[in-house]
Amino acid sequence: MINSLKRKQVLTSQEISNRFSILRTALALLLAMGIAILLIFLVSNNAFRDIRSLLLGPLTSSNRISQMINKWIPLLFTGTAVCLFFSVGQINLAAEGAFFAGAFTSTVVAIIGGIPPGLHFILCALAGGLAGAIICGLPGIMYTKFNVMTVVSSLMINYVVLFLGLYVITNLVRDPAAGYEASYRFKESARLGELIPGSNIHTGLIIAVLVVVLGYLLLYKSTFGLQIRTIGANAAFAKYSGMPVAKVIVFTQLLGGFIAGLGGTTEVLGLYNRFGYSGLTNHGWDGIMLAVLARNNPKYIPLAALFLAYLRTSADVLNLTSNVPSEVINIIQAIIISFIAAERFLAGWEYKTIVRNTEKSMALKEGVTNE
Amino acid sequence: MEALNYRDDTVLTMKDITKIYSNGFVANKDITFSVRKGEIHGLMGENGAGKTTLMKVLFGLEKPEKGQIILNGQEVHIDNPLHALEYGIGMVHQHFMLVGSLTVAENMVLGLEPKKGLLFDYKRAVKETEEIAERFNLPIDASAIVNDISVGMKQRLEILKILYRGAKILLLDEPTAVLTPQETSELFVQLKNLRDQGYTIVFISHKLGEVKELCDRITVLRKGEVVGTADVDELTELDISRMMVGKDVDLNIAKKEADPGETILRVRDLNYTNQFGKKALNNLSFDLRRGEILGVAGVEGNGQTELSEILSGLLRPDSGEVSIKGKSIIDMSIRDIRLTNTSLVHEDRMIYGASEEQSIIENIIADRYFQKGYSNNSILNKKNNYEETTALIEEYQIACDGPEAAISTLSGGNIQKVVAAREFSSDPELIILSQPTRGIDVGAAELIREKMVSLRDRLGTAILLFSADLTELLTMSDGIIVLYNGEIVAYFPEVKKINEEILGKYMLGLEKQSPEEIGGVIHDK
Amino acid sequence: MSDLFSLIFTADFLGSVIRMSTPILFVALAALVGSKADVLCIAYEGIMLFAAFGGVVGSAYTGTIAGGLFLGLLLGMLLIGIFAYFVLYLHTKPLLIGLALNILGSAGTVFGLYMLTGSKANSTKLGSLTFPELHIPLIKDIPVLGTVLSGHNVLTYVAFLSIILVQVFIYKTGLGLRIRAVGESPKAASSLGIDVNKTKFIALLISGVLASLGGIFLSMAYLPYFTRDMTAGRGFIGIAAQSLGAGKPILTGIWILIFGFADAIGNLAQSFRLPSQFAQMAPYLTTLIGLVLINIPRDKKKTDNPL
Repeated sequence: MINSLKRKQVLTSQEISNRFSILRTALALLLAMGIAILLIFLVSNNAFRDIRSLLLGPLTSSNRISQMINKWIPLLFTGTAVCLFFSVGQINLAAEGAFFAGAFTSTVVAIIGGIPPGLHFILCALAGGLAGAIICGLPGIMYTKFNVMTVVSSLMINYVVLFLGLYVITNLVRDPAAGYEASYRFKESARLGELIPGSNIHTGLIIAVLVVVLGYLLLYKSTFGLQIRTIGANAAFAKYSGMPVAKVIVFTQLLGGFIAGLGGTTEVLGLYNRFGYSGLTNHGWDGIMLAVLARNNPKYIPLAALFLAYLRTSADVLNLTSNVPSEVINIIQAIIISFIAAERFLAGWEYKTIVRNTEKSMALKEGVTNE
Repeated sequence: MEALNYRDDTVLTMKDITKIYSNGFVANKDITFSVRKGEIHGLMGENGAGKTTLMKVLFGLEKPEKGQIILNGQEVHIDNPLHALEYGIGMVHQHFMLVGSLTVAENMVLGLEPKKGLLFDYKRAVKETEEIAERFNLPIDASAIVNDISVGMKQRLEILKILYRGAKILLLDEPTAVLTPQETSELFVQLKNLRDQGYTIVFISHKLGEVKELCDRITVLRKGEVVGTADVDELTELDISRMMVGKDVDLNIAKKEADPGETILRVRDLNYTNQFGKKALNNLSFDLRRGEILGVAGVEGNGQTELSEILSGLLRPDSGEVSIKGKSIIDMSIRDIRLTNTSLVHEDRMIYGASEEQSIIENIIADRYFQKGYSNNSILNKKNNYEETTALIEEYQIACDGPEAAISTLSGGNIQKVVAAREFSSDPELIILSQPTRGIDVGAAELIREKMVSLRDRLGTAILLFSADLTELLTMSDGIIVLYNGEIVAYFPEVKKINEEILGKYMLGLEKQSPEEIGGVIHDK
Repeated sequence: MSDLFSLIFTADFLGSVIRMSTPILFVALAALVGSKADVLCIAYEGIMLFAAFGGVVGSAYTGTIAGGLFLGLLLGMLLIGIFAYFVLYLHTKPLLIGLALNILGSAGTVFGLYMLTGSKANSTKLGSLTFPELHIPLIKDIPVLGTVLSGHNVLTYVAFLSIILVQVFIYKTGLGLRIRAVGESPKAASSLGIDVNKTKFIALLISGVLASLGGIFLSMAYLPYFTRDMTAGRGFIGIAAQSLGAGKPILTGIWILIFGFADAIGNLAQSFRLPSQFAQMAPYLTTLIGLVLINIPRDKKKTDNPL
């Protein structure tokens, strides 16, 4: 009784910290938007139109909305993948490479004819997923077996994958008739159809949503997820509690890599009819930003990814309708990551609130004992 | 007493100091503390009483919420260690503050490097180091790499470092904790020598004997508040300990005679060489029986940590046998060792014992999440885990905001209760238990000790108890082995017949039992 | 095969190894100074881009190389200053702020480029300047060696000289001693009144100067103009190289020459019909293999080994 009474009057220190972390996120978003608007005012020849495009552009037509949803899909994959890496405490930046590997590996399978629809996509997905798993698993194995820093190895692997992929595309599956550096056409049996006829939104959306939901359930509801999070929070404790630390670290990265690779597969087979990337796609780096925004919880990835997809669609609108370079969106993105990640941003205020709060609860406790 | 604080020779006063940490823990509450010129002032209190925090405030490492510092009659503001050093206040920390890969001379002059043009004049640094060592009669090897020098020399280097910076008031935070008895007595001679030269020393300790021997006056803290200040001569050791713990130190544990059964843990000829090539364990053999608490005594660094880590599967021995209930554990994973119905409590609570950012529930189920009831088909059983944790919180009287509270929001004592709740609640047949009550409040310690006795009596649990707290060892153990230099040098089957003094002689290597006496700990011939 | 060898050991080839090594050498030394202060900065891509862009703009608008150097350094230092402030004072994870600044470096320079030239691709319209080449008297006349060692860009000499400067700075100066101390044991340093954050900040600024020079080299020597994302991962290779060099300036320098070699051989190999992609992959693959080969076995004991 007294306990519940007290809780109403005084927040716990943890509750205060949680509130401040929400406040930090909100302020970061506001600040970034403010700077973007300022930049637009500086360079635009029609600032009000462009600010409107930035804020509302994606909502102006159904076409733009489906465009936004198609931008949302790959982010769900890479965001979830990076949540897994970061949850197990590994700064693995190879989701970028895994996405690319997934795309070009499934391309190789997707140009093979004579496989029934459905099965063909599944084979492509398996090929793409496995390629991604290898790419992201490698830094894990290098870390556990050879003590190589994951950050460094995964950065290098991204480039190796890039050039490997370009080699495959330009030398093995290049279609000389395409008119540009691109693969042969995917067989229709491999491609993903439209989710709603006429909407341009492809069925990869279903896979993406499934991946996020399963990712969340795995991390937060399963014993494997408990191991992942415990190892990420305190590997020595996990080991002492009897968890197979090295195995979980490697397996989590294989799994995250599979997801990122599957994302690459879904992207190319959903949106295009040939593979035509000439460089890395940045979806992996986006995944890192999303994991930060979502605090490594896949539950928040859809929201964070929607936000980013929204911004990216705004960027397209700006590109088409104004003289403001769409890079303004990346600048916003950089500012948001910076301030959300800045743990001590507002820390002085937070600390004072906690101290005041503790003093209040001390006074209250003394009051209770006096009674 | 109040009047004593304001005499002419008072050099330093801290007034109404309150310090609240960012997790809401009140470390110091309205503390007023003064020191006279040229005295050695003991600052006493249990672990967690707020001694170190108070000194960190004085040294500018912690910013108090409230309070004043008055130095030589004038209020001063000390925001960082540089200020403190400018005011002539220097601190030697509990853990060495040395840069291991640099030389002694480099550590000495760090921040005040002598220059030759643009470059650092290393030769002069060595010369100045040698000079100051000689002047204060604290011998040191100026060009040695710090990682290679002895603990005693590191301690001397720490003191010289602050003298080199002109400190007149020396704050020493448990400087003897890591020293051998010889090194301790040498240090005391050197400290008294410094006092006679007019230096003022604040000596933090919780060891009664040392404070009685060394200090002129003492101030005792308890739970962040001052209990009192007095001349050492006015107080007996019993007085001081009462002030420290608030009641008689006799641990109030009701405990029957042990009734040991068959051997649970069998250790034979165990050898271990550590990473520096030092033989940490030397042919160790002993048995631990069902229903028995076997204490392991020893000065820190005599093989206890290595032994406990080998028994829990963290380290692999060079040679020897270890078996639990007849099964060798040498090649077992930690999981497999735990599955022999063994519980493990590591001495390093915040690294191996708990995961700070995670909830109490997740800390409780960390060793059992895969078992039936805690999860079904790899899906965590949320309801069961919540309820079981709630019950354990109740049973172990863990002060928290509920089972989902993060460990980081708990006090040290409550964190250790979470560790105990996990390790004791699996009905273990064997517990490798290291420093179960180190640095925690008396209430939590008492609860944990009661649970140990109850496990022994109710389930016949065998407990191997490592503790630096001799009173605890003597109260809790049914038998005690003493480790010195990685060897068992004594076995006492009847703890009632011995006391701290006797233990101390063996721990310091002054005496050693005959092989027959030591062999008494091998019951399973 | 003998053809390959005869191609490798030509003076031109060795000269090109040195030229290609220059920007990476700058970044690797930058990463080395940062790592001595125990800060992992991955923002060098962004910093180099800012500096490269600043160099072009500064030289184009002032008409002097000094103007380019000044603006390049200024922008590079601005970015690493932001990095340092966020990491040291706002307790931001270095990885995340580094990632953000790389995005900012890429987007910000393209934004600026578009504003000034109307192009998002390169700065050829600006007419910026380049650093001169240096023909060393006497050496330049020695056959073969003269071609290898002489006639490089001034900044190339600065880069190789920096190996020695960094070595002396880290191991022979008071500030170097402090940087090593705060990197290895910040508590020990702060207990002596050394301002840990300030020292790390200074180390990062020095690191920023080196990385900025690498960026300036790209747009004012390697190429005579700025192109978007012209760093092409060199910032990352620099980090890897310093990691391979185990924090030793000279060893790091040697690794960089090995990269340069791998890179140049890869290019040569194209004339033997090896696909160009494998050539481009060479430095990254070399790094990966190097990382595994020089791996420091994990201490089987204790807390830093949770495995």
